[in-house]
Amino acid sequence: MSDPAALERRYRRLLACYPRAFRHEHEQEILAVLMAGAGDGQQRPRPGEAADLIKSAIWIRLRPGVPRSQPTVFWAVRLMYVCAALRLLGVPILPATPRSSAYPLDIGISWAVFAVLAWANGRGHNWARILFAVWVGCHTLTLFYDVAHVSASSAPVWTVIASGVFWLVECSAVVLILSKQSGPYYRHKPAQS
Amino acid sequence: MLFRIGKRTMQEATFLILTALAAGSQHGYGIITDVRAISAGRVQLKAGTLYSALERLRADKLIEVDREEIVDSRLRRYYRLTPAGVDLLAAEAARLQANAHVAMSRLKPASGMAT
Repeated sequence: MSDPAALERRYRRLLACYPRAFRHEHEQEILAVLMAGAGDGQQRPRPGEAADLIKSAIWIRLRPGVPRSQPTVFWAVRLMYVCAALRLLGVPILPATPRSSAYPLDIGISWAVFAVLAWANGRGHNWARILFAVWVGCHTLTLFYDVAHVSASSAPVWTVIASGVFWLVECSAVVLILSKQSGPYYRHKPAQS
Repeated sequence: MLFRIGKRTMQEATFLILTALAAGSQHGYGIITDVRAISAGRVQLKAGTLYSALERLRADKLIEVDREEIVDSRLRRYYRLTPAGVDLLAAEAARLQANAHVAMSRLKPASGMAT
């Protein structure tokens, strides 16, 4: 026996996986589409439907979320994810102290910082923009101090190159998020989750 | 103005959604049934995939909300192409047509030799 209310309730449970802002914007129309496509006597979401809703909800929660019409933020967030990936691979951020980059805790913390700040910048949080700029500023000072006070010549060449490339990537991200074109995205972009 | 998406290969689902909206505004379920018809049943969009795509296309300013209606106490939101969406779809269709033309023209002599 058909019970549309029960089916709708089950669909709503699946839609609860989506971020609140997305649900607020689309829940009613997605429900309308799901109910319109439901077969006679259907009591439960089809497995394929449920998997698609869960997959889409996970994607919407994890994706950078920056539209391509905002190229400066779009590329800045991708560069931040590149930084996170490089840290995960153990790329050193300071040339003269390559061993520190091998500590799992050090790698884990800096990976988490880059990943969280990339995620938050993608959602237009202004605090994340400021925090990322401060984070890179601190890293720049540490890098300069390291180069000035520790014998750079004693560092392996590959760590000098790797840390230099890493620094350029994160500085590029800072320049992009602090550019004039990025301003409106942080002022008007509503948080998606 | 073409967006960066035009410089890379557009996903088939995106192309079909934009094509479904090319003839006029449609709501979500209308897009799903139209995409199925356009692709002769090969592409069957599901609601989650559709609304992820619509959200992204809206963010890229390729589509926009045309109007909203309440039907049977449910919200029905109609989407339409923006001028940028029309340009992008036209460019992608032209690209696919050019590729198909080259493929067909090269296949003709090959099929002639085979027979």
